[in-house]
Amino acid sequence: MFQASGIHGPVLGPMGSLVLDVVLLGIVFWTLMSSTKRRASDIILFASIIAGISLLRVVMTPLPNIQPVTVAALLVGAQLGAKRGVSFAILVTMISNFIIGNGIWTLYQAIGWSIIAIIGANTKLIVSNSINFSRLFMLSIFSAFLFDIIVSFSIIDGSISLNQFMIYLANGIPYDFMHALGNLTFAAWFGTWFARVLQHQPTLEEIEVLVVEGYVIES
Amino acid sequence: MRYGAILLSIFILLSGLSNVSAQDEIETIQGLELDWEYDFGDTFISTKPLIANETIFVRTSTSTPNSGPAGIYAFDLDGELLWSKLNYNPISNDMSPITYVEQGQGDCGVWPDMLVIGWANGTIEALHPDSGAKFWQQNTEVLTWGITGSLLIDSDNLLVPTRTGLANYCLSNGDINFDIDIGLGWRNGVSKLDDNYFLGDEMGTLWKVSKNGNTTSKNLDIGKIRHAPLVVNGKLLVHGQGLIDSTIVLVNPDDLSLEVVSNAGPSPGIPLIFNDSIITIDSNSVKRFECSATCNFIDQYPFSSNGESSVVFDEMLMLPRNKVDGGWGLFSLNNSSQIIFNELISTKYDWYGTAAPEYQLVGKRQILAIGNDNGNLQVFSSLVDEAVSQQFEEETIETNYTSQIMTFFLFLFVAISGIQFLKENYKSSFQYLIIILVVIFTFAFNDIVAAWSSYISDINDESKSAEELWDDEWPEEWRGTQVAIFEFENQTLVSGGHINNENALELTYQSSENLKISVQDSDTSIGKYIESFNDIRGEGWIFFIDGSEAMVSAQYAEINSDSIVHWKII
Repeated sequence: MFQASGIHGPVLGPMGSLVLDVVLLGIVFWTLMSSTKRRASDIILFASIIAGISLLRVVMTPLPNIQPVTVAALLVGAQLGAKRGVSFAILVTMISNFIIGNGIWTLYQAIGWSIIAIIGANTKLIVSNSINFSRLFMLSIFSAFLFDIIVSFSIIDGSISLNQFMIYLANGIPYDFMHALGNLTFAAWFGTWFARVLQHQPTLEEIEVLVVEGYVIES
Repeated sequence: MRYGAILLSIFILLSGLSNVSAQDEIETIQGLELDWEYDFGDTFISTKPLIANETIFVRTSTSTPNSGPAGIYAFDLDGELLWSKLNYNPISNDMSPITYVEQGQGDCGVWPDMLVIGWANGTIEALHPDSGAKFWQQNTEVLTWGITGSLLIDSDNLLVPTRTGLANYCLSNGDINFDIDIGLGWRNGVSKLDDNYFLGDEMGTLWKVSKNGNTTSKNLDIGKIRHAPLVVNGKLLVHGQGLIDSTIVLVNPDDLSLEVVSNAGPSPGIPLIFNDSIITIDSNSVKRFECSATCNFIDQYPFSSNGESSVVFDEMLMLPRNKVDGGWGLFSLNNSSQIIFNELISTKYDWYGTAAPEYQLVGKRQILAIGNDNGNLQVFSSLVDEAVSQQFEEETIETNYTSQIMTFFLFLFVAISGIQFLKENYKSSFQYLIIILVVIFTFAFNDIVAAWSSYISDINDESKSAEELWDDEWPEEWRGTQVAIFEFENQTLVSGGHINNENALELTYQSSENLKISVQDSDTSIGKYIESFNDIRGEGWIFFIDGSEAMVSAQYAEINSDSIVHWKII
């Protein structure tokens, strides 16, 4: 909301932006780093999903607080695990904010969607390749409010009192509801399809099996 | 069956969405439906609204020493506030009727269409009817109060009954022609007969003032004269207010001799001519007289009215009932000389009232505007015939074409959702239902955010009044208008005199255009974001509305007609 109200944390200078980008990319590198070899097609698919969701976020900017990234982060976390969920969240935030607008809020958005991806990875949203829709809907609503609260922390600086912050949060309630409604829509309409697309990505367990099998064959 | 009922309920609920505003408490007066209303707060409406050039002008008066400012408000016929001009130094009661002057020219020069307002604080103002901007202003003497009576336009002259006398101004520039002292007056309007002006005073003296300012007078000994003498067949009808009753007299304008027409009840109102009859009002009754060489009493009906009255629907008389339970009396005259009482009209704002209703036929639309000491304006309207009604509906349909298509798809989705629900395909039903909710919420989002933000602001009201934020270096013309301040690091630019902007963003755009400030903005998912002014970004721009830091996008931040929006660079 800070972007709209003109209230926000410090706008970063070139050095600050560089540090933030390096830190975020470092986290991405760490989460994607693996001793196993990835297939080029998997990497391309993962990159395509990131690019597609980033583009979708940019395109949907005129709509009030409809955030396709939230449900996507939940499902990526659920299907590909927490680490790749976090890297997905960070990369989508950085890429889309490169167009929408970059600043300290990028950090909070990346944190927000990363936490949502971790929640997705730990709540058994997808069991036996089947989505637990009632759980997905509940988490879609919960994650909307969670994300908005996390991002709202970005406005806190020395000049904002607790009362002002609470007023700020109260003003954001319609936006939170809109976010939740948008999440429900994405989950209801695209949840199954998106989860199926992600199935083509090998999970960490599958990769381990492949590595072990490869080792056995070689020896 | 149960599912069908649920589906029907959803359908009915959605059908009602587009008509919510129309379903609110419908009131009608003689077939005219309540169209819109406006609450002026703790103020009086003590004189009739005025409809001119498809604009409704209303003046309000302070009610108590602590009530809000007096003001002049302009609305379009659909209730949109076009502008307002508030008087922060008012004196009770501002009840001099609003006078609309059409453009013209005279010895002093030319003048455009103007709205002339006499204030109880002694000020006389000529305003632009489209914006409320001031053409000229003059001040008259104040003894407890200043101007309270009706003004008179005579060719290129404006005659103003001041507290202490009669002033004559050039319409074009407000230059004074004469300002003569007579007796002290209250609500003592001025009228003209032949080449003389006539007005009364609180001592019961009738004054005759020639065009060059010479005066003749005579005490009529009928109590206070609190209305403009009514010109009747070359004579003047005056209704004098005594201590416990009143007296109606007919005055010869040449020598000011008089004949008593009738005695009447206490606290008389302003008489008027209606269908060749003279109507007088007071606390006891409405009386009807017919006049030729003299005036004869015809009929009366018990009713209490002490202020203005007016002719409505071309054939009826409407009077404000000046009692605690208020209301409006609707009368007509029949050929057998009777006063026919038609009905007592009640509204939810019934209370004391002295302001007459304003009725006009604008195009094919009948409009009735009423207000009383409750400070609420109510506007009733209707179309005259079916053809016009049909044309109006066609125009509406054309205007809302996109909405109609959207509504069609919404109903389609409702139907699909219902069918899927009946087929126990709940997931599919939910998919369609959630789309419907998102679309409705998205379309209503601006209103929801604005209303919610306004609600939050109200319960955490830290805003200051325009008076507290006022900078004495700003032009007086900016008072009561919207002002925008752009505070850069090394300079502050201010633009005022703006009207009609509904949110902070509109005012910001308008002001920056005036000040030649370039604005960079961007669309975000939560509203417009101002990136920079004059390419200066700083660490961002924050804005305050009436001294209170805004917490929503400028696009959604509603402002008042006299709000001050202050942009500051961080």
